[in-house]
Amino acid sequence: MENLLGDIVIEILSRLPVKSLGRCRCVCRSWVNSTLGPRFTDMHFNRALQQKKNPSLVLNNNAINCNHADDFFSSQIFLVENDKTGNYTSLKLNGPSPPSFQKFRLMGSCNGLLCLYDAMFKFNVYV
Amino acid sequence: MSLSPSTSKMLSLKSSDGKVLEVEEHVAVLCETIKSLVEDGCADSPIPLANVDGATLGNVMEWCKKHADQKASADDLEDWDAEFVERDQGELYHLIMAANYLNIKGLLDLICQKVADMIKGKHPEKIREIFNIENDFTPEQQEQIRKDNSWAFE
Repeated sequence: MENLLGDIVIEILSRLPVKSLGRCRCVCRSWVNSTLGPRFTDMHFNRALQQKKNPSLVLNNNAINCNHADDFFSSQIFLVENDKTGNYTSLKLNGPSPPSFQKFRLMGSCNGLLCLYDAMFKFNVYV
Repeated sequence: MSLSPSTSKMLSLKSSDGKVLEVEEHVAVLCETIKSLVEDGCADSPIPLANVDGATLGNVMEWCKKHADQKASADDLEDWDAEFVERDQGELYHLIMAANYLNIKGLLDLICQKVADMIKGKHPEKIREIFNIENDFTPEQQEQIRKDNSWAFE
């Protein structure tokens, strides 16, 4: 299994619940890289929808924190899980610098999509 | 061109180790790679499949045959699939590679889900052991990545 192609590793990892995904990022470097990027986020989200589980969203902080874009080891997963009523129930932040995320305020969510509001600059809205 | 069972002809498939398998066309075309060859009129006999060994090709075609059976109910297929994936890791690996090469989405989905289920809930050390994956983090990286993902171990 150690020789699986990158695309297949992504196929497999995108089927995991978020907690298992966090553990998988501690396995090896290529698995960290496999779980980064918008393609993985899309696949993971779509699988959660297909399986009719509570939608969850995997965000990488290098997508929202440009200061760390060059250093993949500072890229972390942010997990947002919705309960069955569509309200977000938990926002699990990890890593040493949650303040970088705290400047964002969650305005609302729908089907796992988030509307984030940048409280610092007032004019950026992220969905 | 009709690919229905009633008019299905036989196709010869040749594995990487030279074994030739005769398969009904309506079964073989569950492999998108083979379907394209057939539709383009390029299905030489036998069709050489350089990346699939004979034993794996046999397993793949067993899956295709079951899934081409229009009499099989969804429940029946689900039970059958659950038994089909009860294999050792080596076989699962070859099946994933073959499903990818032959472009059989249903089979690829099935085996990927099986492997994901094997990973689910396990610690990184155990995952490395099961799948024979080298830990290529430096001690510093290891410490950092465990810290960053500490929530996953709570």
